Amino acid sequence: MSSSTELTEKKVFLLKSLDGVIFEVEESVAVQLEVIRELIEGDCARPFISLYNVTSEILALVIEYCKHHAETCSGGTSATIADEDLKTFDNEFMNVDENILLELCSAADYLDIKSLFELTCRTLASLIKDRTIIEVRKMFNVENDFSVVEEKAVRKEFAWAFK
Amino acid sequence: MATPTINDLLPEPILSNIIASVSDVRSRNSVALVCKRWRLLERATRTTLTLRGNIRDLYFFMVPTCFRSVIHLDLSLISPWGHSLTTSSAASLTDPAIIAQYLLLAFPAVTSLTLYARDISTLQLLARLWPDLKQVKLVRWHQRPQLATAGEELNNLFQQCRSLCSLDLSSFYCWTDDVLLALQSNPLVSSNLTCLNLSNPSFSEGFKSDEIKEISKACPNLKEFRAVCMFDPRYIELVVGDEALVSIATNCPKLTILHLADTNALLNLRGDPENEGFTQEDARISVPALIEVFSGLPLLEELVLDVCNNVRDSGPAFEGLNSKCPQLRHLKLGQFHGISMPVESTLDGIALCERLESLSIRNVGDLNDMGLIAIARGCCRLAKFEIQGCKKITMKGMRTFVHLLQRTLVEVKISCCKNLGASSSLKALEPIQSRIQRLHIDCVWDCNEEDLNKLDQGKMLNQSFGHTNYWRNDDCEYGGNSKRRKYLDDLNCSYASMDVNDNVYYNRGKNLYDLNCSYGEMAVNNNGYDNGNGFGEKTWDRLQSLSLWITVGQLLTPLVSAGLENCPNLEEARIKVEGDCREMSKPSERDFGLSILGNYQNLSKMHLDCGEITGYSQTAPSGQMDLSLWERFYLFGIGGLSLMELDYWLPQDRDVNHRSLSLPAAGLLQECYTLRKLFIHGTANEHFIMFLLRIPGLRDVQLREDYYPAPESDTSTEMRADSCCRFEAALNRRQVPD
Repeated sequence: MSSSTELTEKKVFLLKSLDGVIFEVEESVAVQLEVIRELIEGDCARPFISLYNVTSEILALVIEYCKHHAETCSGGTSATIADEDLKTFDNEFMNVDENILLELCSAADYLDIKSLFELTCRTLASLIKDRTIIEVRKMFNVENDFSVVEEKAVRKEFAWAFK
Repeated sequence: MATPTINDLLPEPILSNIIASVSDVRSRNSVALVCKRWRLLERATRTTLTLRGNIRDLYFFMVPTCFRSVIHLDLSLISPWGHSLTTSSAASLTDPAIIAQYLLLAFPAVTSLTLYARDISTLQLLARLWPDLKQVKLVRWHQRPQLATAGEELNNLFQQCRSLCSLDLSSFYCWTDDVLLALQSNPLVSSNLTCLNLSNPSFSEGFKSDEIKEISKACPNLKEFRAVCMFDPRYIELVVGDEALVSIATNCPKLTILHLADTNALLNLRGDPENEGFTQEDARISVPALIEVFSGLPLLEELVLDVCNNVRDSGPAFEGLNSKCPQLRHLKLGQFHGISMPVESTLDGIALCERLESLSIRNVGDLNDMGLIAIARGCCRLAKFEIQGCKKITMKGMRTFVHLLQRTLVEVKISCCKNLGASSSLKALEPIQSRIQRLHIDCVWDCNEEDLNKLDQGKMLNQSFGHTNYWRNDDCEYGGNSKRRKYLDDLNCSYASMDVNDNVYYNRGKNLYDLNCSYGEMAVNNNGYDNGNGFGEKTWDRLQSLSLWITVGQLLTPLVSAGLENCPNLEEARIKVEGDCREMSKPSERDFGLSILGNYQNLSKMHLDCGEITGYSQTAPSGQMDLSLWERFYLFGIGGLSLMELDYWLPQDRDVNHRSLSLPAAGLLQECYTLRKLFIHGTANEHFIMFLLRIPGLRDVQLREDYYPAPESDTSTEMRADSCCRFEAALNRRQVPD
């Protein structure tokens, strides 16, 4: 793939995931990962950057996300259409199961991609919204560690805040 | 454990961020119950709290101490509604000052407070608690109490809270003098204010010219200013005119939001659709002054000038708006004439404000279809559009307008336009049927559609020659402009499809305007908006909120046949009924037809506003119905809708300022088995309200007298503080299945 680098003269960076898979990304994508931005700007990104906290499956998704955002923003389309386009892309992109979403969220936090982090947080929040307590516990595999008395006390506090 | 849990996967800050993004109160409550860690995080990120529960419990030292991170605290909806914190019956038990200390301990971080300030003592007590308050909203629907000096209350507030920057008096019953005096006697606080909201319909006449000048002088750093003004030219010396407007621009150059409305405009009463749109007298607002104002406010984002007297030939004022106020996105105008008068293809007036995203116009006497279409051509980013009281607009004009904006428009209000009743409004909106999210129409059931079409066809043919030239010129002149070219392409493409279909319109060859309309229909078919049933079924895919206006005595039943057959995502319906039923005989049907809303399966919230119905609360003359029967008429069938939330404004007897829940109404409301929240805007007898306990899931009920003036006498047989407490106790005793 190095030939394409020479042809277009675009800078390419190599990212290595936790499980050893190497991804090739263009500069426009790489700079969106704030955590490695300094490395790139300081030209310390050779031969590749190891990202120890991200699996290849998640990193692939992250790169897909950044790629799309980089392309849409640089494209010549007007701002409103680009906005609309990104919105539909984001919606589709978030259409994955909760566990992947959680991993994406933590990856976005680690890689310091603000927009993706906010997007995943919002999506997770909307998953929580309008669900019963039991559903939420089941979805995220959380154990109930309240005793009956404690739970009653918490419920009582809500009499002040049911709006 | 086999699979990792969310608690293992995510570190605290991330989880806290996610929980902070949950905004809905009920969901937050569930989050807190998931596990202990979640509860801690939820409490730490809960920044907004509307305190409910009963004042009496506050006096038993039961202030909840678990919400310590709250920044925005709302104390205006505490039960019983509208009672003063300091003088309620329970206050005799303990010194209010002690309660205040408890509040401070429970909510140490508050910087934004909303308060029902029925009397001066409450305000005095609480302002002292949080001297660092930045934002304050005061609420009072009851009469203003007697004060030693005008402005005493606000003066007090300003003296305690020196760092105040936002003051909202939009539902605070007081006098204009109160505001001005308090602002003038505290120059330091006034000069720090960035938001001031005086947009309050209880100021019967609005602020006068001098007052507006003085306020703007006292508060030079305002970024948001909303006020109700006296625009009526009959008050010769006092009327807000050019001079006052210019003074705002000169004194407060940082304004981003400016709302100036006439009291009558704020009341939002319906006008007469037969009205020509011109009032007898002209407002004292001139075009040069407007231009001066716009030049002085370069940061403006939102502008409302809702006047009730003519501002004639105002178009030229708006032509420079695009360059003078480059941030302007929202514009609302009332009674401004000549805002869009295109000559041939040249755009003028408002149509040159191409950055606008929302536009609302009311009573534009000379706006016709061509003017409206010009607005659509010019303001190509409009997402929200409201039109009221424009008599000359027809269905075809509106439809072309909507069609031109079909990529952006998602919210539309059509009200009080003579030619746009329910079915013609809906027909005009067909091009965005699959996109529109919020809609208001009037339930004026127009004559049957065929007649309407014939009528319009006739009109169109008469005008067709003019229009042909119009569009052709347009295309030639704007050939270079990409948007126009796109439009030209669209037209070409419609020519092509016309050819295939051998359409009569094309053979006629002269009615390009009509062609444009039928292109709209083509697009509907070609883009797959249509769901395959041809024109039979109409689906409004994304419609979430529907608002309706209907005159008293009219039935709701024709709504579905008027064009709203299928709204799969409709969640919220607002219905406003207006009129005097004292002049009406008994309606022939026994119910209003609420059950028709059962067609919309996702409907869960409803606002039923009968507050503008006037009738006899006691025995009505023979042949007429008293209010209890009218309530039955309106509420009949409400049990059949599976509503979760209901806001219900009771009809009134104006002569005795009486709004009280009647027996039939209570009986019908108790049939809403799925209801969780119920807010009744009016009063009720204790034994009627007790009916509601039969609703198994009901969690939140409140009687709110939020109308001017709220009844003072709490000693009548209607809901008193004690009966309210008894009802709430009964409500909270029940085990709620959750």
